[in-house]
Amino acid sequence: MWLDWAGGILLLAGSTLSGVVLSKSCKLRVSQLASLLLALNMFENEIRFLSTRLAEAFLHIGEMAPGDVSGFFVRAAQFMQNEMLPANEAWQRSVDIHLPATALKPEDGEVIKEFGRMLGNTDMEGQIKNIRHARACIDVQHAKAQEERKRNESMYRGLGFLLGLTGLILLI
Amino acid sequence: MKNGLEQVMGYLPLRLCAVLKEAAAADLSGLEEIRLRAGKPFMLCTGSGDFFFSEHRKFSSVLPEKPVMVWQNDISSCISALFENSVYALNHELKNGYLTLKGGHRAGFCGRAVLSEGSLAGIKEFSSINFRIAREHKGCGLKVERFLRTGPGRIQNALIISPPQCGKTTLLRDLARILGGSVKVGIIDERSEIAGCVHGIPSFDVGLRTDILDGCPKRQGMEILLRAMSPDVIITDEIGNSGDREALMAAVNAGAGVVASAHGYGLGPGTGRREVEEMIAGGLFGRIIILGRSQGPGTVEEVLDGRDRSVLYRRDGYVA
Repeated sequence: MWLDWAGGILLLAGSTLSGVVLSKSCKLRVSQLASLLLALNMFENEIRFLSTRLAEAFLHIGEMAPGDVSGFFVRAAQFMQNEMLPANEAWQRSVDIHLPATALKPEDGEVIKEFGRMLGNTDMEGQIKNIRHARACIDVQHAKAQEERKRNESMYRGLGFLLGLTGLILLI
Repeated sequence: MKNGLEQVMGYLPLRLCAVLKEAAAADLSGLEEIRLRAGKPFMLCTGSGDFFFSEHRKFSSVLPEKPVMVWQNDISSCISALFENSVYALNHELKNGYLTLKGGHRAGFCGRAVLSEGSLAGIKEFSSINFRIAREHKGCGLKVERFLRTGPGRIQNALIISPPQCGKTTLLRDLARILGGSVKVGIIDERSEIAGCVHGIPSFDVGLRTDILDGCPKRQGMEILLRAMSPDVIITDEIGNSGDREALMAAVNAGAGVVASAHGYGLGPGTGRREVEEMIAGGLFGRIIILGRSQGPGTVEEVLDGRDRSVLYRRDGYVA
């Protein structure tokens, strides 16, 4: 009997925790997309007003941007400086490596990767257009993420608890 | 210290670097240019002609059946390396169509021109790159230096004339080094070719008493140098644009000597730019040095008195 109780409580705790993690990832995705928008603003300022070289600009952004998204920039800068990779390739690789460590979805990853396609290989006007285009696309993802968060955040938490509770009742 | 070829190899794609490394075992001391054209064979230009590589890495002056080719992605990766992935930060160089590299070498590029309100705003869709290897021939100016000196601290105004790739800039560089040993020299290096400055530091030895105004247009450069550096002689290259005459006259009127170079094929009408012809006809230059390639780049073919056109030196051995 006590084993049933113990198993049921574990199930309840696990299920509730899963719900909390899922709801937290909804929240994190929104904040990480917002951080990315902020980082792109910094990037625009770095190249527009200071004409900073790309790798250097990415390292600056890596220092200033929130930890979750700074990895994209720092890793890409390292690829460019240490492995002499072209900007596009460095960015794609960095996104591939760093994306699983964030709460961002694969569809967000595609948008972020697209930003790398023209990175560094056009004049100022082209770069600024590229940044603004990326910002507009990320804005759309951000709005979608906010919508999902509104819809799902409390649902995940409640559902996790309820599923765990159902399991507990069935067990005992 | 890396030599010219090694310095340039740092910008090339690994595939082409590997090809070049094998060729470097052969004699590439006369290497003048490395040519990359999308969809065309990889080419090296030397004083004795153009060379290609076969797929088996054989180096030959005859185009092989299966040459090592250059592809668009090679050009793109080269451009990324040249611009450090930051084309936007080098807009001025982009408009000029070339970039000065460490060691004074120059990378020129072609592609699709971007126009803004009718004037060139940059280049995109790059299709060819030309690496011009800069060299320093210490001592090549000794042959002409004695024709320039008119007295202690006094230097004749001189013009060096030659077609492209005959060593005008190399000669100017060495004259700067030699003259800078005894008089104050100011260099207006509009295209960063004479001193090859990278981040303000000259890549070549241009003399002990030499000040360099890098990337500055001649007219403004003359004013700055005369006002700030009181040079005894001003060295500048490739004159012939409108306004250059006034700029040179300003220096001469201020008592400084001028040593300049110009594209041309000799003296007389139709052999060079009209602006230069007018300056020569006006007697601005006391000495005219004509370079050629008859005995390799940098051959001094003739040294003339700029006013009466009498020959002071000729390659065949005549010395006045």
